[in-house]
Amino acid sequence: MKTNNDTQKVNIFSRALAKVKGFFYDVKVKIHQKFGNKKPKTALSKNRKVKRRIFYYSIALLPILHYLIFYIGVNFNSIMLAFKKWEMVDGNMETVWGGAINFKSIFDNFVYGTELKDMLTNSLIYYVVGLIVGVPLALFFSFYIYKKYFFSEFFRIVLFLPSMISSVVTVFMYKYMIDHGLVDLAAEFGKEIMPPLSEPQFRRTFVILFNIIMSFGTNILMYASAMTRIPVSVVEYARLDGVKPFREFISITIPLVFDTLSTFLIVGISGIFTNQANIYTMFSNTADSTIAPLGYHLFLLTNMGTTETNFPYAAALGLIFTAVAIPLTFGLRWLLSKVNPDVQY
Amino acid sequence: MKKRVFTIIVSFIMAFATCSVFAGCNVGANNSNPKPSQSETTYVKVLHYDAGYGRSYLEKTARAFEDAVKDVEYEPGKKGVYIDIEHSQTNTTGAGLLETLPSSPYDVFLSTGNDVETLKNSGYIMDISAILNGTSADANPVSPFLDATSIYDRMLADAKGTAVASDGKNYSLPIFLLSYHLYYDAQLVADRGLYIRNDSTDTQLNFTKDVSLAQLGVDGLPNTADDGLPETYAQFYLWLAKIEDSNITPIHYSGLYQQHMDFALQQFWADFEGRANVKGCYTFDGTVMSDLINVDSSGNVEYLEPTAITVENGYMVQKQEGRYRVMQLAKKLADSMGTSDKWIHNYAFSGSENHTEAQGTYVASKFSQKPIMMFADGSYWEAEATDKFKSFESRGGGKLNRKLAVLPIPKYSRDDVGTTSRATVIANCAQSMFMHKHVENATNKQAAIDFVAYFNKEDNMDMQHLESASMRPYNYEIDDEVSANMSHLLKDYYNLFTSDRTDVVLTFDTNDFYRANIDQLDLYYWVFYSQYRTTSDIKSYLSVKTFKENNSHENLVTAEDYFNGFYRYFTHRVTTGASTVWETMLAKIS
Repeated sequence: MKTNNDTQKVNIFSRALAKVKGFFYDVKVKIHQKFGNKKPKTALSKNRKVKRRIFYYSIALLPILHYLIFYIGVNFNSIMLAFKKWEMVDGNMETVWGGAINFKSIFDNFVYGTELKDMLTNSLIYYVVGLIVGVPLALFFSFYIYKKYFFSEFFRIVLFLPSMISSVVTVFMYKYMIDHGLVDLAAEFGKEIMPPLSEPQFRRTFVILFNIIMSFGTNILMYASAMTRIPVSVVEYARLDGVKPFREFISITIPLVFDTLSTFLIVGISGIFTNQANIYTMFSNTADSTIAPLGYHLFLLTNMGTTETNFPYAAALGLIFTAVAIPLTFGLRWLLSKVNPDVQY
Repeated sequence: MKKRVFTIIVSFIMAFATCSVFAGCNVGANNSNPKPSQSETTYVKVLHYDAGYGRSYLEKTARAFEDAVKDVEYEPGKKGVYIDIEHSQTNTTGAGLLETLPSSPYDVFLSTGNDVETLKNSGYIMDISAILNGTSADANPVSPFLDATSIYDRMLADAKGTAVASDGKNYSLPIFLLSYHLYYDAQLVADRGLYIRNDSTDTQLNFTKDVSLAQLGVDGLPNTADDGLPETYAQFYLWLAKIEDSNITPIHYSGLYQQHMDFALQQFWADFEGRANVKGCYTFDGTVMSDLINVDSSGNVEYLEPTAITVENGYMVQKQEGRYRVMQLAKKLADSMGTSDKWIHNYAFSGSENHTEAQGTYVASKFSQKPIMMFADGSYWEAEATDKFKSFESRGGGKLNRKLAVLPIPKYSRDDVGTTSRATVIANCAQSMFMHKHVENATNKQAAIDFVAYFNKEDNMDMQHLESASMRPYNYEIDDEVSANMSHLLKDYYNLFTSDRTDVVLTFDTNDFYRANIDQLDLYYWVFYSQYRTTSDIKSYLSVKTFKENNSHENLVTAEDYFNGFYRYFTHRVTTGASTVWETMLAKIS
């Protein structure tokens, strides 16, 4: 409880503070009166406009230059590389114009060979399974977290954890769990099994399982965030109407987060051709076309070997993937726009 | 107020986090010694590709050189030399290094990925013929650190090709040999009585603990490293079965890098073929090969006419009999995995077993209930596994306590066993040393030349061998002091490569075709790369893995299929008018 003494002390202090503040304010006003710009504001002179423009452009110059060199230039170079081949010229290996030789080679390998087809099949399998299994599961877990059901915070952390840890570490842990953990567990029951990842009949299944687990992190984060934007009034109204959680999930939540969902689906299209499915981290360069997707093949073309002689072929392959992915992406966007409930809130 | 304090704290944390990005920068910290002043000491700048050989072999040599010349005035007003080494993995190899040469400040390079011809053609590499061919007996030796025998003359015969360009001059010299082998535990053989007795045959093996009662081995000589070991493939299979019966796992290797096993099996191929046939696979100089075969699906072998191998028909080497015989061996190894008597450790097929894990499994197995006899890896593996060995030192399992050795390759046929037999081993030169052309006109020229000469002195090579655990491709002696610190494996490796009965073949050449197709003529794609199915273009360089995974009736891959796939890969035309792989390779030099 404040005493008279305390009150007096506070009054003295606040009056002193006010006086100090007032003093500095007076000084500031006087300085402004003496040195402040007394001329009324007029339209900028041409000279000043030019100087202002120079200032803006010079700020933007570096990022624009960076973009021109490291994006436009690099991609232009990559496109040109697709039309080149390596040859020995005067004792040195150099790239020379090759025309469509790389595209023809890719076409022949795809149409008359089996490896590229197998890898395309693998890529589609990884994508479709991710779509049919991964996305619904991610939505389901997001809904669970959004509704704050039992242990939802635990699930939020555990499911997002693989995305925070380096993929090399998570792959290592996963491989160890499967190839050592399961083997040791079987041994406890007196059964000797081969490491599952070394068995061709199980390999793809475990790779898919790993990729689904790894896909949860970002998906759940985005879907759960989108769900929190749903107006509480809508949810309460539904609850009052006796809507069960499953019905709410299907009829309210998913339509309201459809924009977020469709963004992920559209972006996922380009991943068909570039997704390595963590194969390289798991199997280094020993995975064959029974499990390897196209993204892995593309990576090996630029990673394996002591020279860059595979680069033109890889560049051509990349261009073909782009040419296929563009219409697919636009097509999917059109399709999703047709089914999008387009709810604004 | 609280918010402001919180903001300040967060700002500090973010600034700290941003600065932590630079924690990896280690400018000027590569050398443990403080750098002397450049105005008082001559500097020689060295760029070192920091690969699996470590740094100590270079650092120790550099410090010893500095000590040797500490009173020498190479430049006016300067005393002694400081070897300023930059250890790096960025732009230190291949084309990346070549691009930096025009403005490179380095005088000496220890690098990889560029053959002598490429270095010569760059125009930025100094001719070091005087250093390589000079001796101490010369009237005006180019360096006081030259030996009585020139560096070039001390090189292993095959390694000399890495140092000579098309103009007959020397622009680089090799530093280390790299090879892959099956290594075995000689102590385990002795302890478990797995020496093959001298009354054994190719169909019946008897065993003994007494090496004096053991058979003479492939070389037919007593008291040599191969006494008591398999002399033929037939004996090798029986020996593996016996090992497995003795509750020992015969073979292990990295499941993540299963190519190590195939690379080790390439030694079997090389030993079968012999020096001329192996070298002919890289020179395409018209070497006549008389062991080219066709094999049908039943395993019936038909010998082809002796064929001179040139670039036009180089794909014919894929029909060498040696490749087929080794594929039969690989198939047997794989088939054992479908039985209860597995010859290969389970984890050799597991992707979770990387190379260091595999080394650890092998090293630790000595103290387990089921030890492992053999291990497949590169010649550097013992150095790489130093920490693994160290953890067992207290139990007598350290590097110097172990008796590991390189498995002598048995012969396919009994006729090749005996005192006239020769071993053929394949290797490649990893890392080469060369000098920048600007040294020719630099004031530190003599210092740089002296350093290169000193580095390649015969007396220093055994220390470099020990420190890097890799052999230098030269003839040199190992003195007692170094030998006392060398493991049994390192000594055995040295003995193998310097033996009069061993032909060391380096798997390279400097002809245009090889240089244009170096990525197709390497360990992965040139020896055991197979398009093993006629109905598919699936390919593999992992023979044991492929056999193991395709052993059911529906998808069976036989040794014949895999062997025929070698030839098919290079000659198959995907469609009429399309080029074969070989034609594409030829087109690079047309």
